[in-house]
Amino acid sequence: MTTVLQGIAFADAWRVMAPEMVLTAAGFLLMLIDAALPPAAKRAGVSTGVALIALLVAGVLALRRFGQTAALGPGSYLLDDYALVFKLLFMGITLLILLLSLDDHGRAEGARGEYTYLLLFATVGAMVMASSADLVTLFVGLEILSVSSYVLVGLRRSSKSAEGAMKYLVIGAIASACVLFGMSYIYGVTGTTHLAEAGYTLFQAWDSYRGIVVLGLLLMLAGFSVKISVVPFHMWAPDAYEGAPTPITAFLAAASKAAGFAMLVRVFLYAFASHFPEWGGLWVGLAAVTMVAGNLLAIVQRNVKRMLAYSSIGQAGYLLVPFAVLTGAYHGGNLYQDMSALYFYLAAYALMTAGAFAVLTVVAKHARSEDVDAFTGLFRRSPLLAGAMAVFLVAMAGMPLTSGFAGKFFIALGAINTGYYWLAGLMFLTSVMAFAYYFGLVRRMYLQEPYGPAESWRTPAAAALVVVVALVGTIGLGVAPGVMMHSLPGLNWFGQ
Amino acid sequence: MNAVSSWFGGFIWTGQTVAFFLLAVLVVLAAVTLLQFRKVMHMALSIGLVFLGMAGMYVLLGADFLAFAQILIYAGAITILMLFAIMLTRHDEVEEEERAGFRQWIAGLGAAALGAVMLWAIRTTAWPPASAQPPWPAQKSVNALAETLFTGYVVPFELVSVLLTVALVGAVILARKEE
Repeated sequence: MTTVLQGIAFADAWRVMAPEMVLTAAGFLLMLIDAALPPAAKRAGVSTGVALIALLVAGVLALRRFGQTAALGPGSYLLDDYALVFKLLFMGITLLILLLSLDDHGRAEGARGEYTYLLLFATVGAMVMASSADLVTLFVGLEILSVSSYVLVGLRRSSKSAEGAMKYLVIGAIASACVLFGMSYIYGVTGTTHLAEAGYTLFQAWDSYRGIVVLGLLLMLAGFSVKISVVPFHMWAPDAYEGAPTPITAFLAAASKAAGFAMLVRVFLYAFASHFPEWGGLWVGLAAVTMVAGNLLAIVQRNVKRMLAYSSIGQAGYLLVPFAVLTGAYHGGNLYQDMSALYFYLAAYALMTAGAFAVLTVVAKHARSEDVDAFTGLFRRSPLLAGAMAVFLVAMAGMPLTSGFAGKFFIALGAINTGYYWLAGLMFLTSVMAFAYYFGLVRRMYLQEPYGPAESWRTPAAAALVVVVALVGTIGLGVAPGVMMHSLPGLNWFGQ
Repeated sequence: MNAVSSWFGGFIWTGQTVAFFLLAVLVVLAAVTLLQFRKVMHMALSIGLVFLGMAGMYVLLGADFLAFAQILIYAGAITILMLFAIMLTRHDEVEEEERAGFRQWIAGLGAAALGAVMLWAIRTTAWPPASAQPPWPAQKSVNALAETLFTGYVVPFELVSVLLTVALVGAVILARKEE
């Protein structure tokens, strides 16, 4: 038997994964720079500058690939618009996070370079997760993101940081083991790690191997649910979020979660779509429980970071709805509509989250506390911060004229279209619950006198830039959602 | 009774099955004692035993190269590295004995339920009869492995280098932070 060895030409690899290559190269370059430069130069933000340039270059490269499709290694690594929109989202978030951490010297002193290139590698991991259509590649991407995140969470010199990183590491490792174990069952039944081929085989093998396939599916579902912090797999999130440096918390809440969703949709859509109606109800249940529990638990939090953590759990519930609905009634037009709604809300949510954490970073630095009391009377200290925070909070709750409302509206519309009226109703109810705790904070900022002397707080330039970008995005997507929503369904999502 | 015997129906005692059960008992025992030991040193040694037992399993499955890699890398390098790490740090640390509280019972119950479900899923599936031939001739397993690794799986193979770098650098950063 002779086998033909298929080589991969660099040109093909460049076409499919140029952004990843640029970011990986930049990461390794930063490692070298970090070792060579004197400590004084590191403070000047050379590493952040290099990383920002790399992100911009990678972003342009990704933009130029829209509408094209290609695959690398027999179908294991895909270039399609689905991967590209997610890659742009990850890179945008990382860009904001890097800007935000420019002024966060105090938190991770001595680890500037490490901080930056770990963030770049984490982004590469997320991008791999969005692009791969092979279980092995997917798992490697997931681990790149996870391992860098564990380290990033543990960067602060405090026991809280160590505790959060430890919890995240242990629970994350168990989740990875679950995913891998589930994948091994799917591989055992189908004999392939390639998602589309596995999906084809599973279509026929479903009846004869139902027990094994369902077990593999459930294990993967549990592992993925940990990564996107869906109730009841959310226990790590508040502690890891609280312990991490604040910009990293924003990264976990926005980019990590988006990467989890990108992976989840790709896997379940490619491999298990043929039997959606039989097990899709699970997602509906998970989405409902997550919305209710996340929003309920957020009400009782005193620490703003923990409150935002629980609120991000609740948001994961909303984000699950488009996919859950899709499993109920799966057909082509529906697919693009729901994918667009999911992506729109992910982007809107990423902007609000980055903005809210940017404000939190500034406030926490001045007040030396992340308690809700730090926000009391913020309006007297910095009207810009208070106004921006109020916009982000009401956007998270879903106030009209903000991106949060538009996003929830599209998601609810998808749910109603497929007949899940109660799910749409539940979304509305939990949004009302969310208003309760968000408005508590807004009231504190505007109506109460600040504790201590009422000095005004200065906002560093980079953090101000992040806040303004997030503000423009949040209001812009809220006032004119059509700009994005009209172009999304027309994308060449999966390259059919 | 009937149901139980049908679960183990069609079972023939051969040298392979005897070896399998010996190895299985060894691996499971080593894994359980790993959790029971209170001294980190003993834990490291029993995880070495788990790695060796798994290498035996790979031999039984006809994956000779994988078995050798397992012995070289896991049983050899990783276990020794762990022993080094333990010897160079506080190796006399003894873990506190934990009382079997409500949580432990719930966790145990959950684990038992998961095990039961898995056993049920595996036993109720009508598996196709195993083919006498392994998918590739034994002496070709290295070739087959290399070919798969460097053609179909070349992308993840390259990406693993990023993963390993991240893990290595991360470990150094976290260790240095303590200073």
